[in-house]
Formats: sequence, C-alpha cells, structure tokens
Amino acid sequence: MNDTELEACIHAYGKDLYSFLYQLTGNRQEADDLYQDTFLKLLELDQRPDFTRNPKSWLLTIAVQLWKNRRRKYGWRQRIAGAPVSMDEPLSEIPSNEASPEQQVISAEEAVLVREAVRRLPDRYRLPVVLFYMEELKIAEIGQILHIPQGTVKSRLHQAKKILEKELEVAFDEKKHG
Amino acid sequence: MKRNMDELLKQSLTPAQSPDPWLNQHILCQAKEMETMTKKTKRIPAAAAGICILLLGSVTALAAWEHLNPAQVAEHLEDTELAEAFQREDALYLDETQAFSDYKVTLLGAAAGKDLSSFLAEDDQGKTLDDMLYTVVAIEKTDGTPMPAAGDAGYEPFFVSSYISGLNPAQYNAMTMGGVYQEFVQEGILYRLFEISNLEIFADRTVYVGVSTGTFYDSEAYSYDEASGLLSRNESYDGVNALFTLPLDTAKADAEAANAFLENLEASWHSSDSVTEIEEDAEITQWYAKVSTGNLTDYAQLVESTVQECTADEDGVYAYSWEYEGASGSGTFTEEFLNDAVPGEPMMLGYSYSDGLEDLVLETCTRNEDSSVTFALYTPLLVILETSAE
Repeated sequence: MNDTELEACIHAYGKDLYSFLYQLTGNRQEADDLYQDTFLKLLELDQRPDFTRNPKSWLLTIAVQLWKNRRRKYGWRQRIAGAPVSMDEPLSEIPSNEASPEQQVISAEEAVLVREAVRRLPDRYRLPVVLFYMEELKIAEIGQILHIPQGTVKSRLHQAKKILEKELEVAFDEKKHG
Repeated sequence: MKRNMDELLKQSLTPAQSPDPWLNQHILCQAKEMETMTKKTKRIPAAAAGICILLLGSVTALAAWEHLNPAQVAEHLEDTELAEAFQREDALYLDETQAFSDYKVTLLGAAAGKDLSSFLAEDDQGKTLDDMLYTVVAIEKTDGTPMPAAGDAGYEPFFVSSYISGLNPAQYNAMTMGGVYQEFVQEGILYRLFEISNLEIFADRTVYVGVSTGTFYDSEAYSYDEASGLLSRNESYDGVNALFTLPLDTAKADAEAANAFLENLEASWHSSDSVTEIEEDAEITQWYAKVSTGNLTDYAQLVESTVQECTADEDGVYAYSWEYEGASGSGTFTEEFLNDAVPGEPMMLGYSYSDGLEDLVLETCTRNEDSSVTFALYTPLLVILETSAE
C-alpha cells in the first residue's frame, strides 16, 4: 500500500474506525493508540484493503484483533520461564457526548446513557452491538470479524438488547425522576 | 420502557468521534519512515506526535557516547515546554551511573510540576494529567556497541519505574500507576523519558527510580523490606537492576494529597468492570479445572496449524510462538517441565483468552516417542462451548 492509498483509506474510514475504537475503549488515549496500530498493522501486512468488498470491515477486523490481543488474559498451570503477563488495561468510565445532527432525535443525555450501557456490556455482546449499530455491518461480516457463526451473532445481539432494555429502563426512569 | 431499541441504539451509536488531524498526519509520517527503513516497523506512542518528523530531521550532533542532558532529550522528543522545564533551577540534574555486566544505566535528571509538557495526556475520565514527574535515563552497552532501537533485532526491553518507600513495588510501579514513556536511540545510547503522576507529594519518603531487565516489574530484581518499607537491589540478580534515589524537595511532601492519590489509585484497580472480568474468569477456571493431561482430548481439539517442533537451547529452555485467528503468543518452558512427561501425551503449559471460552487457547508441549518435543495449541471443543459459553 502506498502513501496515497493509505491517505485515501484514512480519509474514507478514519472516522468510522475511530468512533468504533472510542466506543470500545472509552478513552481517547487508548483509541488513539489502537487507531494508529490498526493502520500501521495494515502497512506491516503489506496488503491493501479489497475495495471490491467492504474495506471498512477489513480494517475493523484488524482493529478487533489488536484490541482482543491487548486484553488477552493468561493463566498458567505451572511456573515456567518467560511466561507472559496479562496486558489488561482497565476500562474507563463514560465516553463524552459529541452528538451528531442525527442524534438529536433522542436527547443528548439519553444517548450518553445508551453508550454508557453499551460500554458496560461484556465484550461478547458489546462487539456485535457496536459493529452492527455503529458500523452498520452485516451479520455475516460481523461473524467473520469475530470468528463466530452468524447464528451466534444474532443470538448475542438479541441477548444484548434484552440486557440493555432492562438497564436503560432503570436509567431513563432515574433520569425522569431525578 | 417501550422504546424501539434498534432505533435508540442506531441513533446513540452514530459515529461521531474523529481522530485528531495530527494523529492522521503522524500515521502518514510513520508510513514514510517505515518505507525509508525498508519496511522495518518502529512504533512509538501515539502521544508522541511529531517525533518522526524530528527523527527524519536534524539532530544536535554530539561526540560519540556523550550523554544528552534531560533538556536535550525533551527537545529531541519535540517537547519544547518540557525542555524549558528541565532548564529551570528546580529541575534535577543528576548524572549518576550504575554499571552492570552488559549495560550501564545513567539517571540523567528529573523535573516535576504542573503544565510542564507540551503533550499533556488525559486519564480515562478525560481529566488532563497536568501535574507530572518526568525522569530521564540513559542505557548503553558496556562494550560500546550501539543499543538496538525498539523494533530492531536484539532489542532488549527495560522496565523503568518510580517506586515509593513503604509501598510494595510489585503493587505500586509504573504499570499499575499509569506511567508512560518515550524513547529513542542516539549515538548508540538509548534515552528514555518516563512520566508518572507527580510523586513530590511523597517527598517525605524515599522515592526511587528503578531500571530493570524486562517489560514488567520483576520481584527478583529488587528486595522489598516490609518492616522498613525500603527497597534495595538484589545483588545476585542476573540482569540489570539499577536503583537510584530521587532527591525530591521534602518541602513539597503532602501527606493528605498522598493519601488521596493512593485512595484514587486503589479505587481505579477495583472498577466495576473488574467484577465482570472476575465472573468471566470464573467460567474459564471452572472449565480449566476439569481438563487434565489424561483427558485433554475430551475437552479440547488440536489446532494442527500450530504444531511445531521445539529444540532446547544450551540452558535446556524450549521457546515457542504461535498465531491463531488474529491472536498470538510466545513463551518458553524448561527441560524440567518435561520430567514427568508420558511420551505422546500433551502436557498443558497454560491458557490465554480474550472474551471467554470461545477464544481460549490452551498451550501444550509433548515429548514424543522419538524424544523430540512438540508444541501445539488446543481449543475447547465446540460442544463444550455451546453448553458453557452461550
């Protein structure tokens, strides 16, 4: 991939990728690092996105893999030389609300509550939700990115919505009364 | 609540965050550098925007092996405000060297205070980290050969950290206290600028700077005396374990602020997300408890693509590395580990996972009938996943 192609890729998908990473990490510093690492990985792989398919999905595949690798936890049955140590970083609290015009249909405050609730979901539910609703990927694409069957993507989305519905009912109610 | 969840999620999650323009420029700059370096990757923290511009530009020429001073190090990293701070009277110029068999470590200096840097970071809550302690160290080889830069062959990681007397360094170190660093190699010397919250509030205790071999804190490198709270070098440690004392201004000690700092820090280690992780960990632990060398294939399946023959080095250490579905790992095990091995039966080295059972991988090694040793990954069987993970 040459500089022009990279620039075009950043221009076309930078915002989507960054929003995804920001929702995933909840803080700019980590989103910045992952954003940079995703594009550098792209260069390192010395491949160009397949523009005949969905290049955004391809970029998100790299980003998800980098994110998962960062959060990978290790357990060891016995003490062995050079065992890796957990690279977990604590998740942060609430992302700031930078409402787009489209978001004005619901209140900015409600949007924050929703994003907050999504961030609290375990990764197995959070990733499909963000990829589906924020990145507008198809179920099949999400399955490919997360290496899970399409049926599992659907069931996780369904499960996630049930959890969110319950959580948001309480959150919206509290907001209303207090 | 009878709202349309799909609509609510779609609207709330509309992409609205853009990267800073400098970040995109930085990536393009990195790409150019990678091209120049014939595809050799050299990563630096995103916070150090603009560094690569300087790397490609002119650098103050100094005589070989002479150290840069802390202000020059900050200048090299294009942090002009920090360079100025290092030139103020209250900055510490130390230039203390400790030598080890292969390396020499020099504590060049430190500066602490508010708004000292041009690149102030934010914490997880978006609060600007403006009151920081900046420490500069130099690491060089005793035989005079140049230090490799990060990403170069032979690069050896070092853990640079502040420590505070009375606080166990295994718990309170650069990694747990949110320290970050930038580094570069010039004239064969590795310079590292390390920053952490301003520890002057602890100036009535001893504040140390440690430089040790490895990526993480190594409790073998230092001895911590619980009774006195003092830290010392482990003289028999096989590696670098430099330990300096930072002569901070005791007038700046603030017991109340120090207590508040520790309270906040400890609270951050017990965030609500930890609860979820503990629950997820329990699921893994329960599954792992069922698996043993004898019944491994009842619970997991071999990942053929990861099978590799391992050869012990002269110290009897076997090294392996693997890549599988975007995840990767590496490690070593020793000859002793195989003492009880039954030929042909895989022994479990350990496991790692990100989400849960569905992406867990089990690392194994096997002594074969012909005495060769192979490494391989196993993944939990799908039938187990269906009942356990979903």
